[in-house]
Amino acid sequence: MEEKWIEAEGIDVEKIMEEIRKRVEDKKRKGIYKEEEIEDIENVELLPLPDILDVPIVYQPEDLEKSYKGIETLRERKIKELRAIKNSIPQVTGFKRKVKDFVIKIRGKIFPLLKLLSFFTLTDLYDGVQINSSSIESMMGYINESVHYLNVYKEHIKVLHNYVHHITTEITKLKVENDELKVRVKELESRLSFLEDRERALEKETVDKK
Amino acid sequence: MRVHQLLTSLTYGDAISNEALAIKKFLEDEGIESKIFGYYNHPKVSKYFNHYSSYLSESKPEDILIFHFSIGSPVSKIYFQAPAKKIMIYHNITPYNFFKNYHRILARECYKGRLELKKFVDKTDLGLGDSDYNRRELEELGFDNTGVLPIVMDFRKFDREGSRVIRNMFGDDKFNILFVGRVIPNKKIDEIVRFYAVYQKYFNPNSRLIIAGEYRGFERYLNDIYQTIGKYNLKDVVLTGHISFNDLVALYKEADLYLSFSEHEGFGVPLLEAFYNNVPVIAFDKGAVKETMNGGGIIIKEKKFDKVAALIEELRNNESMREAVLRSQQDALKKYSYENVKKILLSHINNLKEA
Repeated sequence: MEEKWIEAEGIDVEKIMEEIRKRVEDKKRKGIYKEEEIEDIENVELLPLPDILDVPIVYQPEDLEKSYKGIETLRERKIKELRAIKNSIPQVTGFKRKVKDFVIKIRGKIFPLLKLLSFFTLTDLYDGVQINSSSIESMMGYINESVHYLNVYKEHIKVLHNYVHHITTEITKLKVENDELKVRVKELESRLSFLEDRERALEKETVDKK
Repeated sequence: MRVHQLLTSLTYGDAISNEALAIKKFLEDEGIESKIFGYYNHPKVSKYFNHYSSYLSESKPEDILIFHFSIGSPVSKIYFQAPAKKIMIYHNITPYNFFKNYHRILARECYKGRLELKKFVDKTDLGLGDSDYNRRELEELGFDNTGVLPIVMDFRKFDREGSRVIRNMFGDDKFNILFVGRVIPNKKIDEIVRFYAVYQKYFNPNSRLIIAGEYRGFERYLNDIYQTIGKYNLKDVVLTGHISFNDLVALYKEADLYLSFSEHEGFGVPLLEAFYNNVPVIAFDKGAVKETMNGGGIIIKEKKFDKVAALIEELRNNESMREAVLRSQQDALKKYSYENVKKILLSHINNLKEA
């Protein structure tokens, strides 16, 4: 038996429910509607417009800073690795070390003679080193300049990052405002239509009076 | 003994102000001195109004103070300080979850309102709800002494023709289904519109749905309603927006049925207005609806659209059923008679005086 879903004093609820059941069954039997159609309409989920207050300020400058810090950390780690490689070059010890110290001592004593002997033969090499040195200096200047530009770009990226986030937020807010304005337009249209009907009724009333 | 009232604003036409003025009249009829103190007032009722700042200098321990609770009221602090015995009348706060998807600020206010209400527990000698549903809420909050005072309804104001223009607009042969109330989510107007899509398409094409109530401030919910109207291509749904009282009377006069799917009502004044205007009422059983209807009209326990539509068709075509429903509605109104409410109020006051 159907559960009592109506309450009313002074009427035969059971009888009314039976009449309702017959009406509903009759409509379904005639194929006027299907149970599923009604259920679809009953279970529609509302999708409210987003609230402008719900649009978050998503920009978090610390994210960018974190990524820069990450790059710095990576660089420092690389330097440490290079130092470790340098320190890992094996040092000469024992007999070989003693011979090496002796040769360095002798070489120190005869160094002016070696310098004289090599003076004429090493001029070309010296010039070459000079040229290389100036090239390295100009290269260093170029690298420094590049680093400067890199820093400038880094700042630009920060600013752009900021802009992109703000633009995204503002566009979202504009979309929400636009949707709200559309509702206002509909509201006004509805009001206007009501007032037009009212005007017609008023006209009819006035004409009838005359 | 003097019985004064305290409220945020005394205006013209709203339910709380009407009740405050009616209570003043009840008391004065019994020879009890009564003044209304508040924060704002409408010029039309200024002769009854006293500014709340002057209350404390007048208040005495043997007096009784009736406070009409409203959220964030600046007059609450006077209520807390007053030496008089205190009655608080609670007209309910809509649960915040109805508003959280549509009006975050109002949702927050409603949430805060319920917290604020707890501050009154120890300061109140008698908590009155305008329905037992509201009284139970007070009890759950911790109020020891509670009672019910139905809203004072002056139905005589409906004894008129109403706007002839509105009556011309809607007085055709269409079956008018009416709902009166603000277009807010707890009233479930979106469900009424979806129900109407079923009713008009499969049961009665020669019908009209009229939603009479203010919709400003809830545009996002209104958008959902417009979307629904658009989706089902509904032609005869009228959203009137705010209307004058004269228009409202005309709408009741032209309505063939009052339908409510509301999921939260602290009382439900329009249900009784429909009763008075001989409009058969079908309402979903939630909040204080059943209690307010007091055995009148038809209560539904489920919102099965095709079954409700068939029920309306039964009511439309079965004259004896319609007459029985209207009779039950007229009987139900007796509870809200001026004399009955006056008797209840005076008994609360006497009990408190003797306590």
